[in-house]
Amino acid sequence: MRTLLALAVGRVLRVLIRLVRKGGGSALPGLVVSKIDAGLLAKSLRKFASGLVVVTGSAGKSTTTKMLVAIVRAHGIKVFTNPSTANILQGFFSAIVEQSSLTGRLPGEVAILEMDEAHAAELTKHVAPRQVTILNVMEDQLDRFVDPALVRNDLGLVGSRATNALILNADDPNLRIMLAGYPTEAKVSWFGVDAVSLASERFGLATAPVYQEVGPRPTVVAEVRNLAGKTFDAELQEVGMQPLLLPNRGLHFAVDAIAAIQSAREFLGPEFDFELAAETLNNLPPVFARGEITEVRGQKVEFILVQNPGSMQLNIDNLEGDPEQILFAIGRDVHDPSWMWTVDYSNLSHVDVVTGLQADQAALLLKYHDVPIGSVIQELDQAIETFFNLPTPARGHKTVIFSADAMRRMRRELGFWSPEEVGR
Amino acid sequence: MIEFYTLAPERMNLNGDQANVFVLRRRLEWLGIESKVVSIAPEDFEAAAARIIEAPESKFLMVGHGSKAAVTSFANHHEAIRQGVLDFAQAGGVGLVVGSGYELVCPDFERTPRLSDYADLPAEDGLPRVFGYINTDTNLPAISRLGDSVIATMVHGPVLARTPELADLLLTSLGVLVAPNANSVEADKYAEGARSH
Repeated sequence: MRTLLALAVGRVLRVLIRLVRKGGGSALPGLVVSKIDAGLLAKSLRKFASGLVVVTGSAGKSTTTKMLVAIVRAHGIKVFTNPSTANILQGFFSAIVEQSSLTGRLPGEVAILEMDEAHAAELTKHVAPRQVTILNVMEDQLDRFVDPALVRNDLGLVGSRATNALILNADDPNLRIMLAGYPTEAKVSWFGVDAVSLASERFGLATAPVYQEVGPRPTVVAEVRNLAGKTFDAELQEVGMQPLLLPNRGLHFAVDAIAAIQSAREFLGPEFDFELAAETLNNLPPVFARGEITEVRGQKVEFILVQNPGSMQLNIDNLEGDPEQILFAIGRDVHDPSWMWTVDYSNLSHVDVVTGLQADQAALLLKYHDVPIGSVIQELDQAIETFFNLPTPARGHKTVIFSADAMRRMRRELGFWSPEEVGR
Repeated sequence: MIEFYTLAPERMNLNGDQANVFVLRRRLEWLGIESKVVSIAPEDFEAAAARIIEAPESKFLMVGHGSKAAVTSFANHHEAIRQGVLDFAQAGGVGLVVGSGYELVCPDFERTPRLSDYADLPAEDGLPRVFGYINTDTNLPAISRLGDSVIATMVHGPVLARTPELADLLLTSLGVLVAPNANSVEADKYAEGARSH
């Protein structure tokens, strides 16, 4: 009865909000439902015949999850998943409001969810995941997580609760330390990147330094090899090699892809078809703002999401050529912009428009880093007008670098209602 | 030439604390004054401190904030670092210690519930109003002085970018004749804007 009431209230609320604001209304109903029936989420997730698969870690969750879901679906399995970045408990409740039956049953045979590190630690207390993939530990969201060692603890708890399989990044020493502290009964397998490909990125994987000896790199069963721009070879032990095309340049995309492939192999077991997995990834559109190039007002635009020092550094370093027009938008999700000062901006030649609720903080940073600024415009709608009124670039496309909050607001301003609306 | 001595900058920069050295150097550059950075390994700190204590003029000492792993990695040198910073401060040196660097130099504190918030500290003790972010679980004062001109603070990250008055106070303590210029005016305008949001 409580479930029925919670879902009814949530759905009415959602409809009302959408009447007022197109494209909105996903957060509050989830919050309200969680207050009425806190146990609903765990109850719903326990109902999947093939269990719960969790993808977590500091960075790459959205892309990896999207890739994993696509591969599993390509094998004919019905999957329930969460929209990109809706990876906290409130977001899961919102997904239930949107997609469940009145008894809280969600569609699909398996739930494959990307989860925020702390929220994963909380949720897996109540639902043991069948399989967990942990991508990395970065110096990320320090206002919440304080210290990478505490993130390792959260991830260790999540990993130790996996019943069948734990898939880990062999090139992040944090995960070796984590596994030593949080042993698991599940089968552990490691993915990684060959040394030459790893060296192609100036700061490697940009994982949190551990400042201690952690022993040799574990043997990997899935590896990124021969990374060159957007292409690499995915090698699976005892299976072979497949060439892959990434949605965009960058070592991090290759790591996401190999993590997804190994996770799919563990989940599907003997049914896993490597060729089909590779073909699926080669045709997969990017997760929004991760290598997304789309058309806005008749102009090509690349959207780049930055969420922590690692993603900021990787994306700045991987800017293609020298973009002619750049908008830099930092929103209120960056509660404490201090981390932005740990990044090297020497590859950023200029910024045409700085905007977002933290526009002055961003402008301050850019000024000290000698990055010329065209204008600082607090109001996002005005900044968008100014930026899109600039003449079409003579070469390449417009580039938008934004934090998650600025991204959400901008997509709404630009009329992209669906979070999955992307183009390759 | 102003010399910036900084303890293990690659490790003690968790929240961008080394940006304070960067900010001071930029402000010097805008004034046409040269500077250089000397990175001090933890095991070399004692010797380096002894050298700069002998002639502290035109020398700035920085100890940033590091992760638990970073600070633990040089646990054998904590006492030497603590003593070196205190001696430098007593000798009239100018510097900044932040976060876990502050805890290292002033270890007599108690743990408290964690405070993670925007900081707006009132002007006192000859220091200007200070802006930034705090994330601490100690009862150490949010900002204090060691000696006359070494500032110890829990306000992490680029506190001197957000509080240019404090940056200029430290530069003045180093004997620099600070004067507004086009670059500093532009930067300080953004700092002013950042405080109001």
